[in-house]
Amino acid sequence: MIARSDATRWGAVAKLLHWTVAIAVIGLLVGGLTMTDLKTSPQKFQLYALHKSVGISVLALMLLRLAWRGIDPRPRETGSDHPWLAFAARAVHRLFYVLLIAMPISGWVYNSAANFPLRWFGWVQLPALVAPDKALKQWAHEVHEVLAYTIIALLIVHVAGALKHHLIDRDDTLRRMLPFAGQRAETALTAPNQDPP
Amino acid sequence: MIRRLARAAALSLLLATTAAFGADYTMRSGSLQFAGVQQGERFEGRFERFAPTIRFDPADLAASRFDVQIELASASTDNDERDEALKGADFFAVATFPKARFLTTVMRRIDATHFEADATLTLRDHTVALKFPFTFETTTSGARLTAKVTLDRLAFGIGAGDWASDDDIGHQVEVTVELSLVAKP
Repeated sequence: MIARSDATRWGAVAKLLHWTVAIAVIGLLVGGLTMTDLKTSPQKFQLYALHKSVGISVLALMLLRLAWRGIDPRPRETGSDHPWLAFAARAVHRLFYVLLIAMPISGWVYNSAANFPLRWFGWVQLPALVAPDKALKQWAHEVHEVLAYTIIALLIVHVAGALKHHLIDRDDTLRRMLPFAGQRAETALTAPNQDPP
Repeated sequence: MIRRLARAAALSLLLATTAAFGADYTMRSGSLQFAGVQQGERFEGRFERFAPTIRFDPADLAASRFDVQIELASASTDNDERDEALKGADFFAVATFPKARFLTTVMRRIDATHFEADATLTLRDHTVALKFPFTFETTTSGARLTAKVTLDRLAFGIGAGDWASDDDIGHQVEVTVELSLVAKP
């Protein structure tokens, strides 16, 4: 696999970042929306600590993605979309960057205002962004929650878009982002069950 | 010069007399703080409400005694979730045991300002004997009492069961006392 993207396919770095963030975000959403209802226990505190560590990782990965996006070429759009739909797709992608950076920061502010420590996987101590503050804590929690539902809505649109390209337009938009799609194409000639001659 | 010495002597005599009779003190201001470790992170807290009864005379330690009632529901670590857990059944259980009591029995002098007391602390349903080293210094307006002791939370059944692991919440809790006292008239 090639690290960098080109005009027709995503490189390994872009794919790895995309799928790592995807898995982390889905885990964070499921965890975040369910862990608040748990009864207070050491496991609850541990789950929260894990949620925070993964969330901080997403922040770092998103900043890395933003930097990588700046220097990595992007594959051409397949051209199956109406101009307004293509515009919407680009808007969704940009909004993802904004939200997935704002989301961990709102959590970090919430954590600091609630006066909880933040130790990345129990390993690196991260500073508090704000001093303990009950009003700010409440506000940051609201923001964190609203952002969660916004991300879920965006995720649905994003997946629907990918499936539309794959199933209706029958183009490469989804396939070229799949983890091993590139490899399959390269090994297609030697693979026994693919594309009978 | 002689007049000044005489005045100083008279004043110290007066102070000594006052101290001797003024063995009972009330608290002008004070703090009762504690520090623990949660998930490898130190945190600090305090009891907002506690009532100390202080009778202390370095010349009559046999008659000296500290008796402190601590309102456990007044504990705060500036963290709502932690404070709520702290007051809950697994920790202080304030609904069942609203107050802690600290009581000295025998006191010993170490030097001019350092002393040590044998004491008991009743927290939840446990009464534990402990050594309580403290400093007591008379000031122009009263006295200052300071102390620092380290307690084992499990000795009092605080956070037993699910929370017993030292990795989640450290067993050692450091308690710091600082009282500014006024002699009772």
